Amino acid sequence: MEHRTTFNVKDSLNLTTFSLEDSLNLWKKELAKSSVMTTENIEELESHLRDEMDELTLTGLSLEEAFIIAKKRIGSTNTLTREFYKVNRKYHLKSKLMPYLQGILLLLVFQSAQNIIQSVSALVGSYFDMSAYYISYISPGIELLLLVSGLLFFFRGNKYKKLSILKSTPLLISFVLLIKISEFALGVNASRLVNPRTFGLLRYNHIILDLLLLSLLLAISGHLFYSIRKNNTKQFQNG
Amino acid sequence: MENLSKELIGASSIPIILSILSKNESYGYEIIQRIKELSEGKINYADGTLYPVLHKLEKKELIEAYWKVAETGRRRKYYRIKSKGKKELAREQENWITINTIISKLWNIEPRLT
Repeated sequence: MEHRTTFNVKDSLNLTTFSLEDSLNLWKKELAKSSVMTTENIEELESHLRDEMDELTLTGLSLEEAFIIAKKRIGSTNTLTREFYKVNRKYHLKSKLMPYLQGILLLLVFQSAQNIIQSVSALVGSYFDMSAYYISYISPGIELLLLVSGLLFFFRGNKYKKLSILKSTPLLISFVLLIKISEFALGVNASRLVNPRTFGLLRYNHIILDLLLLSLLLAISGHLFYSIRKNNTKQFQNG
Repeated sequence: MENLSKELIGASSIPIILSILSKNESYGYEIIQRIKELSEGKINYADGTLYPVLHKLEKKELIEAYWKVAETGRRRKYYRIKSKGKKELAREQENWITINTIISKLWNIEPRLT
């Protein structure tokens, strides 16, 4: 049994006070972990548990005793997860797929942003009669600058607030649509107005930047993979 | 007092739930208490596993569910039988009566089989 124990001066002799809300929250979190049960499912089970506890406390049991017995009667997390999986298969699959889908959407945003930077740099550069050589360095430079500032913004600020923006799928989808449309419009104009040689040079430098980013990403993935595996083997050794 | 087999409990859970709901609308906890009382404790499983069965019946549109604030002040999910559920119950009743008749006939010939 895991629950927070708090010590009270009045209850001397090391009596621990039982917090029903804490224990209930812990139980609900455990049920939600496998993403097999919906929040409504868990609310229904909680209502059942509380009904059972009401009956048990009427027979003279303490709140803590009633909680332990009610939890046992309702069934273990494993049993409940197994049985709910039979009727919630679709929900389970969807909630497991969602993070991957969001990853793909983010990748699309990144690709489009890259194309937009290229088109805008080429258009603006050509407008000011800049040489193709300069433009081909300015464009990847802007991308790198945006990436670094984006990462700083992501890690410095209130992490959870910013993550929640990314987690809102409808927002992400509308963003993808918007950015794709602007990418297309800018791309059409740029290919019409800009000298192809400028584009060629610019693409070349962007490909080099892509390769650098790719090696960084591979290094991070490799590091994460091995550190996770190391943690797992440690866990097994500890029993 | 011996508990009934898992298979038999599984097969009978739908007609039992539908029968209980055909009398009155009810909620999970109350349904389980009723089953325990009727079976005199011979039907014994983890209480929470009743809910997936209820949800399956709901998906099949045999019963419908709605949330209501109970007398305790807490929200509670109630279930009530639909007309499709009543038809299903009638079919189940026929099936169980058929099985019962067959077994009764067999065991009347040789009543003390054990």
